[in-house]
Amino acid sequence: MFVQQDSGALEENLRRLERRLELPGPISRRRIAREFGWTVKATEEALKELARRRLLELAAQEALNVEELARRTARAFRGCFSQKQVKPLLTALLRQGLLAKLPRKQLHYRPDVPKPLIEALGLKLEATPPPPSPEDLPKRILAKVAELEEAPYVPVIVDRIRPQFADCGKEEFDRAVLRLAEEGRIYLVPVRVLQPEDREMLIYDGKGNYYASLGLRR
Amino acid sequence: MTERATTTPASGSAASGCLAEIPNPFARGVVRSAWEKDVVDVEAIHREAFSVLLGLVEERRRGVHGRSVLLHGFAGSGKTHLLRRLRLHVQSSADAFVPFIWVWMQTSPGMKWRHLRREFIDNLTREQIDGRNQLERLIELAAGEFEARLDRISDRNLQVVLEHLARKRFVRDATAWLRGDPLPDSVSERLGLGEVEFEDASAEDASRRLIHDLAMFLRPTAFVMCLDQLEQLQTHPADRNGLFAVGELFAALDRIENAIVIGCAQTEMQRELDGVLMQYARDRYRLLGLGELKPAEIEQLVRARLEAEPRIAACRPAGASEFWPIDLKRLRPAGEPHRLVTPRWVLYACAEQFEAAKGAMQPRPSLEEFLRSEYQSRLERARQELSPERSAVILSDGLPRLLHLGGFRIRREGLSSWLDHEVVSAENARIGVAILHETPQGRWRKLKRMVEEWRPEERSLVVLIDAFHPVGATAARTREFLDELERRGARRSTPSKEALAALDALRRLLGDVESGDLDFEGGTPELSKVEDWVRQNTPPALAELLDEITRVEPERRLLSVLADLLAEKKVLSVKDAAAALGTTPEEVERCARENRHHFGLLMGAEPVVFEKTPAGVGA
Repeated sequence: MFVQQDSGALEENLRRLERRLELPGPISRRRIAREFGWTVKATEEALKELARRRLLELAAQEALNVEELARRTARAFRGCFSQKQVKPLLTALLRQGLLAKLPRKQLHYRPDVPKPLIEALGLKLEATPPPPSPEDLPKRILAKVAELEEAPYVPVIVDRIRPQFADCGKEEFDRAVLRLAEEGRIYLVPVRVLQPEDREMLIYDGKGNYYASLGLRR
Repeated sequence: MTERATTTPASGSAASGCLAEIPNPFARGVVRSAWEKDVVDVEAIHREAFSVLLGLVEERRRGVHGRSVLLHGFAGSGKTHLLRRLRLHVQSSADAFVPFIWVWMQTSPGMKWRHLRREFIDNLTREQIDGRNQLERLIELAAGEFEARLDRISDRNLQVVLEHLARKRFVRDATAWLRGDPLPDSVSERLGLGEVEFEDASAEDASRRLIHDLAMFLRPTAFVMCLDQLEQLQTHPADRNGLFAVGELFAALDRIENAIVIGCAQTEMQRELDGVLMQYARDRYRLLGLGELKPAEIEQLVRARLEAEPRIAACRPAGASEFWPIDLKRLRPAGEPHRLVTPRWVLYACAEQFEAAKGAMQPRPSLEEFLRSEYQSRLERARQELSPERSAVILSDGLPRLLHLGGFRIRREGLSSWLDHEVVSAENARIGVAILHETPQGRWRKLKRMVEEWRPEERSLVVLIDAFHPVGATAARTREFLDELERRGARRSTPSKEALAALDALRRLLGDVESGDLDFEGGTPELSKVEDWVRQNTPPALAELLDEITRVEPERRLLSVLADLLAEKKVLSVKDAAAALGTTPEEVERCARENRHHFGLLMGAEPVVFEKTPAGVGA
C-alpha cells in the first residue's frame, strides 16, 4: 500500500503526481493508476495526501470559507479528485485542529498546532513562513494596512487584514493595533452595531469598544 | 469626551467684557444641506477629495463614464460641506451648465425612488440663477432639438408634461406631476395625461423610469446627483434592507450615462456594505475617504471663523496671538487617540474656548436634556411641515423605526406588494401592516388584493389609513373592502396628525444620530443611548400608535395558534386542542365555529376539530 512506503519514496511519488497534474486536460484516477503502475487504492491515498497538503497550503495563504477552500483544492486535480471528496478531508483537518474556524465562516491554517502532530501526519508546509518575532508585529501591521488601503483614508476592514496575521493570537494582534492607535500611527473605526458572531473578528480594546476597520494617519 | 474649557490665559476681564456681545463664531458646526447659504468655507480643507470630485465632473462632461463615488468620513468630517462647495463651483463655473441635485436620503428602502424623484424635481425647480431655475435652463438648452429629445423618452405622460413646461403652460400642475404628486382626475385630463401607476411597487418603478427618462432627455448635459446620508435608508444599523437599497441605487444610477453620482455615508458603514453587497455591486462605486485636519488646516479654519466676526480683532489684547481667544495647543481630542480630528470637533472645542473667554459659560446640558430639546425642536418643525405629500414617507420610514424601538422584528422582503411590513413580536405573533396612502384608484386595487389574498391564519392584519387621505364618503367600493376585512378580523386605524408629527420628529432625530448630524459635544451621541432615551420618553401619541398596531386580540391569537396546531396535527379532539393551547374547550369550539372557512367541527360525545382543506367537509 501507498502508506507503507518509506517517507523518501512517498515524497517522490507525490512530486511525480503533482507534476502529472500540472499537465493540461482532465485525467481520471484509473489513468493515473495505469500510468504510474499503482493500485487503485494506492492512487486514492496519494490523491488524498496531496489534497490534504493542498488544503493546508491554501489555508495558510488566505482565509477562505469551506466551499471556496474545497473548490480551489479540487480545481488542481483535474477531475480526478472532486470537491465532494475534498470535504471529508477538510472536516478531518478541522477535527485534528490543523485548521481553525474564523468568524464569517472562514477557515485558516493554525500554525500553533503542536509540531509532533504535523510531523506525525507527514506534512511539510512550505507555504507557511517561519513565525515572525513579536517585535515585528507593529511594523507588519503598518505595512499590511498600507498595502491594503485602496486610497488615503479609506480604512481596511478587519475581515481583510486579520487573516493575514493568523500566526499571532487575537489578543496579541489587538494589543499591537491599539498601541499603534495610541501612538497616533493609525486610526480605528468603531463598529456601529455589534453582532455576537463578529466579536472574534473585531478589534477589542478591553473597555467595551469594538473596532471594525483601521487606516493609516497621514 | 473633552475636559471643560477654561478661560484662556490671554483673556482678561476687559477682553471678556468686550467679547460679551459678540456671537460665538464657532457655534455653527453642522452643514445640513448642500443648498445652505452663508457658510464659512476653507478651501484648503479636503482639497484632494474636492479635486477628485471635480475630476469626476470633468470626466463625465467629456463623455467618459467613470465609476460613481461613495464619499465617506466620520461624523462631522465635512461631507455635506464638500458637496456644498461642489455645488457652488459647478454653479459659478463659466463652462457648460451642470445641474446640481442634492438629496437627503431619509426615506425607507421601499420608497427610495419616489423620494428621489420628488427631490430631483424639487432641486431642479428650487434655485433661481439669472431669474430661471435649473429646469427652465435645461428646457431652454434643449430648445433646438426639443422634439428629437422627446423621442428618447418612452413615457408619453412625461413627453406631454415637458411640452407643457417648454411652452410655460400649466407649470404648477406639470411640476406637481413630475414630483409624483397625485393629481385630481380633472387636472390630469386638462394636462392630457393618460392613466398613472397606482400601486406601490409600480409607483416605485415608474419613479425610477421617470428619473432615467428625464436623464435621457437632458443628454448630453451632465448633472451631479448627490445622495447624502445613505445610512438613513436603514431603519436601524443592523437593517440589511437599507444596505441592499444603497447597492441597488448605485447599480441603477450607474447606468445613466450623464449622471455624476456621489453617495455619502459614514465610514462606519463601510464594513456593513462590504459584508452585504456582492462584489459586482461594490464595483459600481469607488471609495473616497475624508481625512483629518492637519495643524495648518486647523489654523486656517480658526482664522476664517475669527475673521468672519471682525469685532473680535478689536477686543484682542495687545501682544495676544492672532488666534486669540483660541488656544490652538488645546485642539486635540484628549484621551481618545483613535479619533480623527474632524472640522466639527475643532469647531466644538473652539466654541467652548470662546464661551469660556467671554466668561459666559453655561452649564453643559446632560444628554437627556439635550435630547429632549432636540426632539422638541424637531416636533415643532414636523408639525409645521406636516402635509399630505409628507405623510406617506413619514409612515413608511417612521413606522419601522417605532416598531424596532418597541422590540419588534420587521420583515419586508418577500411580502406581497399589498403588505408594507410584517411585524413579529417576541412571542412570534405575526402582524401584517398595510398602509393606505395611494390615490383613490390605487387604494381600492390594493384593498381588493388584500381581500383576495389575506389569510388570517398566517398573520393578523392592521390597515393603516393616512389621516391626510381619508376614505371619502363616496368611495363605496373601498368601504366595502374595508368592512369585509374587518369582518374577517383585520383592524383599521388612522394615526392622528399629532402621531404623524411625533413619528416624523422621531425619525428625524434617529436619522440625524445615524448620519452623525446630531452634534453633541463635538461628536454624535451613541445611537443605543438615544434609543434608550426614546423608549423611556415615548410620546403618548406614539405609544398609542404602537399599541394599536401590535395589539393582538386574544381571539386573533387563538385563531392563529389553532391554525398552526391543526396544520401539524390535522385532526384533534377539542379537549386535546384546548389543552395544547392552554385554553378551554368552549373557546376552541367558539373559535372553530366563527372561522368555518378555516376549521371543521364535528360534535358528539368527544367533539373533534380539524383543518379544513379546499376538499374538506365542513361541520
